[in-house]
Amino acid sequence: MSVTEVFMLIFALILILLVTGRYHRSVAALIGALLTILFGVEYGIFHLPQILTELIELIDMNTILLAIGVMILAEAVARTGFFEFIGLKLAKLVGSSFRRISLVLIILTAFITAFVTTITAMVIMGALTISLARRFEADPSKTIIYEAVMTNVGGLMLMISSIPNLIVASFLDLEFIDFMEISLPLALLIILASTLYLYPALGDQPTAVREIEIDPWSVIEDKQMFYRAMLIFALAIALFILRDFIGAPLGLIAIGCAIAILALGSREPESIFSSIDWGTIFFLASFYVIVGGLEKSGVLELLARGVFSISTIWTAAFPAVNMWICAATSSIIDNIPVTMILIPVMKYVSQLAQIPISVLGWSMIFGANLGGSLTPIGAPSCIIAVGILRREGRFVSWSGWLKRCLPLVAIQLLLATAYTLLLLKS
Amino acid sequence: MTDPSKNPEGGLRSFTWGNDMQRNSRDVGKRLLRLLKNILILYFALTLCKALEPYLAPILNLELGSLLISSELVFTGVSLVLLIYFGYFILLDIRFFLNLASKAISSWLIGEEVSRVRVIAYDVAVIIALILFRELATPLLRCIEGVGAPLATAVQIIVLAIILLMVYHLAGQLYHLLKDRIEGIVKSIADRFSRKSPRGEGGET
Repeated sequence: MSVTEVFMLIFALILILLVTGRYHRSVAALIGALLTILFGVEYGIFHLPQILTELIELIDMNTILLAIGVMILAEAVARTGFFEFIGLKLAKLVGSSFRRISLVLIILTAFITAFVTTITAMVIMGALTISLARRFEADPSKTIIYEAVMTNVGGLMLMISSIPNLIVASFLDLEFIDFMEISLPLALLIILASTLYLYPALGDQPTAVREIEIDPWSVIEDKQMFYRAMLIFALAIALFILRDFIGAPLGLIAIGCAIAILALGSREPESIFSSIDWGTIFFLASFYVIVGGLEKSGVLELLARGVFSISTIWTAAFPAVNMWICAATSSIIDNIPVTMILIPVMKYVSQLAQIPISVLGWSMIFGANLGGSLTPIGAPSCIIAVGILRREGRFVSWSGWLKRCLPLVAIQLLLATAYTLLLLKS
Repeated sequence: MTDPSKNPEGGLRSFTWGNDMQRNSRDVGKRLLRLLKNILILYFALTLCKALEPYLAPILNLELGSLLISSELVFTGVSLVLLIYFGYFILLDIRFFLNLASKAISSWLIGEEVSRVRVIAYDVAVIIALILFRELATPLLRCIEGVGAPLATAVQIIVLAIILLMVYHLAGQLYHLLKDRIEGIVKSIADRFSRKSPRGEGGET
């Protein structure tokens, strides 16, 4: 068998393991990385004496460090109760209608996801929604499902909002501000359009006869830690924005701020370490090795030629088609491997079809983030939302999910399509 | 001589793993014995035909009009009948063992899975993993001095046998999946037609 055929089989095996969910995604990626190394050595892609150096060269350490740093920062801030505090404060402001409170919580979910992982955001907002729904004796199903959808919109906002953003930004060498300049307007536009859709979609919800007593400060256990964590988090965001002047890599800034928050803004560093999503970090590192192997064996070039033949049908619309392909694949497979595989493929397609790589990169970010909402298994936040509702005795079927989310996600994807084509024109 | 057709488990009845498992596991011994018996009987019968043919050649040369019936033709015909008769039952038993082995291998490598689509995906994954294992293990085993080459060949044969069993299992699953889907479609179309057709014409009694 040729090296390309062997690596195509490895790729197919990893895809099957990821789609079927037989193993945890990080375990599937580790199996793939191990096979890549073994066959890489056998076929002369890697060389045993210097294999560790070759493997480390394949892994984008900046993205890995940035992911770890942001996860620690977000976890420490979430533990202070800041996001629950904001949620309760807003709920108190909007009054006694559960429909208005739901809408505020859904929009807030998008903004929270801009800073923390989709999982953390969904867990926080899910718990908050359930507790408020109990007070109103309301059905939280719609609110929680739409919150899950909005976590994926929030994932678009900033470079640190989701892992695909970090991967593509690192590949395109985008600054924090450059990223925000393009992603934030679209995210805000989608939030606005979603709000207009959601208000009638939420339907009739109960209203409290008398004002519900809510004390936002009740969720803050340690005010001193709360203020310290807030300060360090704000400093981290400022440093991300000012990275151009500082000249330090984003990964280093994130790790520096994470160390500061562990030292000053948290009383339980051990517990923060244990709640970091190490699976994602291992998954990321393993997938860099797999992608490196696929690239060196010529599989990605082969894939790129296939994609290029599609792009020749209508070159002008290809970025939009690419976005929809990304969205469709992200609704079944995790969006991290989708992005990591497609980046080198898009590099080839960009050269062959003369399409700016930045536009293809953006179309990947939009598709990978928004596509996760298409199915109940498309994104971790969707799986968590279904789990939260199941614990409350409310079962969400695939058809139920599609009935509620498909129109909303279609609106979001159509807006992103128009925006992508606008980027191509400009 | 054993008459395999009298066995209640024989015939073309399809083998089902779930409820029949216990009964079938008891049958394994019987079937194995019957398979060996049939193979041996067929072997000896064919050998006997071959051995008797030269001795009976002078007697068996008959002329019926323009048709010459030679002893070779008679023994070929008899051999063919024996081959079809015993071959049919041998194939039935081989099919039983093939089912049993493929299901055992599949459940060992994959485990119990409810969804047929998932089983198909896992079958494909196992086949790919076995091909990769063969590609990786063969050159490594060949490096061992002395026993390396025969060991590599043995591993290749074993892996190939398991791959073939998995492909057989995969084909079975695909067949049942398509059959279930097609039957479902046919049933729904039939239901729709029977609902639409007016009384008396649609077969309502």
